[in-house]
Amino acid sequence: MTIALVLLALVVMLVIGLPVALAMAVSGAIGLYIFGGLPVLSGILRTSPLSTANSYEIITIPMFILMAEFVIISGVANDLFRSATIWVGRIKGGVAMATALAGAGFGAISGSSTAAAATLASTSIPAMMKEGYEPKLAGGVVAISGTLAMLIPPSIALILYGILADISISALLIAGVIPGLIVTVAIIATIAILVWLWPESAPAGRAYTMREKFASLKRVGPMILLFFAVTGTIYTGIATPTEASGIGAFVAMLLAIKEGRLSLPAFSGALRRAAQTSCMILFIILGAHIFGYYFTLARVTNDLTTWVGGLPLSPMTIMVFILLGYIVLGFIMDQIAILILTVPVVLPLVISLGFDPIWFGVIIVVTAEVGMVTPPLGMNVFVVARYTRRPLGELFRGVMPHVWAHLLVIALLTAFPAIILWLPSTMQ
Amino acid sequence: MMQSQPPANGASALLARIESVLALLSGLSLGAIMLIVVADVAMRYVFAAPLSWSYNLIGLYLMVAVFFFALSDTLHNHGHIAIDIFQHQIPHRPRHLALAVGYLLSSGLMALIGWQAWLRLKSAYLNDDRIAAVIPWPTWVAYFIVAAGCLVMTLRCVYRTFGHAASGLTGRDLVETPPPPETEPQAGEGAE
Amino acid sequence: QELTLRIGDSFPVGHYIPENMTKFWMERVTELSGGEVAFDYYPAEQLGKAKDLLSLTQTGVMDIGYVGASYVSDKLPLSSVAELPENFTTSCKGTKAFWEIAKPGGALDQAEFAPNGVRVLLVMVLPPYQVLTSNSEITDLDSLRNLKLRTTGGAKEIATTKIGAVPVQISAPETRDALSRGTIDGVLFPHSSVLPYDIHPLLKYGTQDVNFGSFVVTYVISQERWEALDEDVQAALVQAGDEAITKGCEAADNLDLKDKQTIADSGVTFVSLPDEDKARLGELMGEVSQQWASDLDARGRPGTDILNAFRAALEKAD
Ligand code: NA
Ligand code: NA
Repeated sequence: MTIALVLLALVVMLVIGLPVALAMAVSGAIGLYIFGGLPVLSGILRTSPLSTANSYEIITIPMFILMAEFVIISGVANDLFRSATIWVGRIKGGVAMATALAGAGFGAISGSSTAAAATLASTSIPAMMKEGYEPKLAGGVVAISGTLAMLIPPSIALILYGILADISISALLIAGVIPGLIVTVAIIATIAILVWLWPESAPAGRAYTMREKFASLKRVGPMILLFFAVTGTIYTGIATPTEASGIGAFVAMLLAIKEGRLSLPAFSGALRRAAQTSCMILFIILGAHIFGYYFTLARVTNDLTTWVGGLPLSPMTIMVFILLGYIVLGFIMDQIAILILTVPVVLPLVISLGFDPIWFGVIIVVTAEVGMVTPPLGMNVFVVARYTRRPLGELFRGVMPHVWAHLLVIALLTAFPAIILWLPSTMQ
Repeated sequence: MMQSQPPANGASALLARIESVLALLSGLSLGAIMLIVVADVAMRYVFAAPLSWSYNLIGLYLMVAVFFFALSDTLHNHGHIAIDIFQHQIPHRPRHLALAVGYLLSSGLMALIGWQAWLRLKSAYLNDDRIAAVIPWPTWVAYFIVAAGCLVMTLRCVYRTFGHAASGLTGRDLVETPPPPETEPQAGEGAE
Repeated sequence: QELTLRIGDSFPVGHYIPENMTKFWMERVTELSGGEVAFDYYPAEQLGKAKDLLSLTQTGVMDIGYVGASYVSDKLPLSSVAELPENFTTSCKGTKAFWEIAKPGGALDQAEFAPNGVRVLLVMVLPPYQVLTSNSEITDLDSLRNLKLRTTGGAKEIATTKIGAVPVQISAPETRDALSRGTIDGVLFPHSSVLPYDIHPLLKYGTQDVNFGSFVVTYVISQERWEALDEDVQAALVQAGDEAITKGCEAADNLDLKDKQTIADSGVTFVSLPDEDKARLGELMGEVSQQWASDLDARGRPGTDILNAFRAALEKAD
């Protein structure tokens, strides 16, 4: 009874547009109050807010956000898209494919999907519109390509999962590399099929000389430097993820200085925006904790795990249902909130079913990517809508083919877990 | 993503000024974390002498400041993610009245968090509680940051409570709301 | 009628401490109370972080909570006395001595637990921490000089500095990476932590029969909750506690030997320091304890009294 009331309160507060963090914290607090009165509620509120923030390991999240801010200021992210355009511009739909490549490249220096979508939208959408791409196709490609940032390291989603699951963040980040490349290929293949089926949706390509091609690479150098400063050092073990995040932000800051773009207002703006984004993520973590403690105390977590574990189904069938559940949750909920709410409940079950926790982390992040672009709550589509001034319905339709492609990738990764687990197994 | 929200009235502007000061402290803490991590790694690799105080300084104070000092500024600037897609399909009055209730409950929650932090601050300060480390940092500073951040956040939530209640009762827009996700020309078409 | 107590800790599911002590204790309490007392057990930080469990127990979110002394060194600084590099090399000796001063009415209970409104039900002092290195050969005390060692907590940092090594703070999950890339030369670890973090393939040398510090595990109940219990339930909790403490430390010592063997089998050479070095180490480590005590004395806490009480209990524990 109480559980139904708490869930109803959560849904109502989400629907009216209260911030997700407050909605979860308030409905969880209502549950805690009904469960144990003021002592239990204030006991939880006495400790969990501070504990959400006061940890050293959590600095990877703000540091990677800060790094992306500095990269955007430096302007080299835009050059990445231009270079990609020059390299694949000759193919029909080439600029759209270049967007996917730039999304992968930007994903390699940014941990946040929405930041990546915003950057891509500001550069590649005007370019595609100018060349005569159909807005539906252009917007869809940008929205889905932005999601690559949460899979290709550094990834805030994977870091959060690692902290929640208490497993090696290095291994998790490295595990995201190959699936990230597969998703990139899937996006490009989807574009190829779309322009083949509907030739009018994209213009013919434009060829560039080899000289232009190599000249364009010069500007990509700094990005490669940054990629190695982060993912390279994590893979080789030269730096731990926390160190790599701080160094990454610092190198990105130097890059912005070198490009002559880091004025004092730009610097303080980057710090403030990074602080706000970090705060937003931490606040959702706090809200999910308060909500989660209620679920734990009410034994919902425990009963659910026991119940599912006792079902007469094969582990793979249960996994399919779990992934379907994630996709459905992704329709309406924020991806970080989903991770934080579900991982502590689902992971023990998944491990007891015999699945690898690193594999599962990557799989649910790929699933979360789908949630970023499905209605009604699809953050990346919202971001693209703000830049393109196009209706949401059109954009959601434009991204649908990529959703199907993503589901195929998920099926592939589920059937062959080694695709995910091989690269981290080669780490020292 | 985050834009700067102009305050709707004098009360909000006053709060926004306090929030800006705290947000500056939050941003500076973030910058300090970056520099300390780099210095720590450099000292460890180059001089084999890592900073013994960095781990606790960052974990105990700086991360806490990043979070709690940005809390209210982020709310004011609509930086805390909300599901803003159904919102605009709900009629003006019930939507604002429901939000008033939501922010009233949020005010209570933030006040309770701040109050608990205040109790811990008092006890830690009076007992001179310190962590056991080479530098025995006092713990009351962390509780102070929580209490101060929550106080401003509570005031912002109280302001929103009254603002939404007034908007709901008068039928006018008397409080800051996030920009709609749709774009103006095709505002009629929602999500499917 | 049945009484259900909420008990929580931060140990991962399957950890040897809850497996050998806490769960045994819960079963014994249920038995001794004739089925009257049952438990809702929340492992793995389900109800809060390790550093918050004391507060959560004080406020009644849970009835019984795990309190690791060094996680709450701000609130219970004196309880770290058994984490000092004192004169014991087994869990059982350290545990017996610590229980003597921490049990209700003991010196530490009066100085710290009772004033914080809690009562100790279970304790375990882990087998002492050893220096384990990846490449640097350990021969004598001087061979530990200048090594960068992953260290946790104040007293262990001071101990590391005393032997001329460099303490480095790295979170447990990142330790393996730091070791493999040479950011650190070694760790200050109990044997039981080596296998879970999978660092034995990277290790070559380790010390033995010495004490570089330890870790104190307690489970406490709030005084208020305790007083609300029936006398027969209280008696069941106490009797089961005595049994579980003995069983727990014996299991810890057995596991320590077993893990040490596994580590040795994976190619780690365990070295006993020469006798004169052991004596010198004893003196150096004594200075660590003195410094710990006088720092606390200076802050108005009875550091020296508690250290002396613990030393006296250690003498008796043999
Ligand atoms: Na990324
Ligand atoms: Na969605």
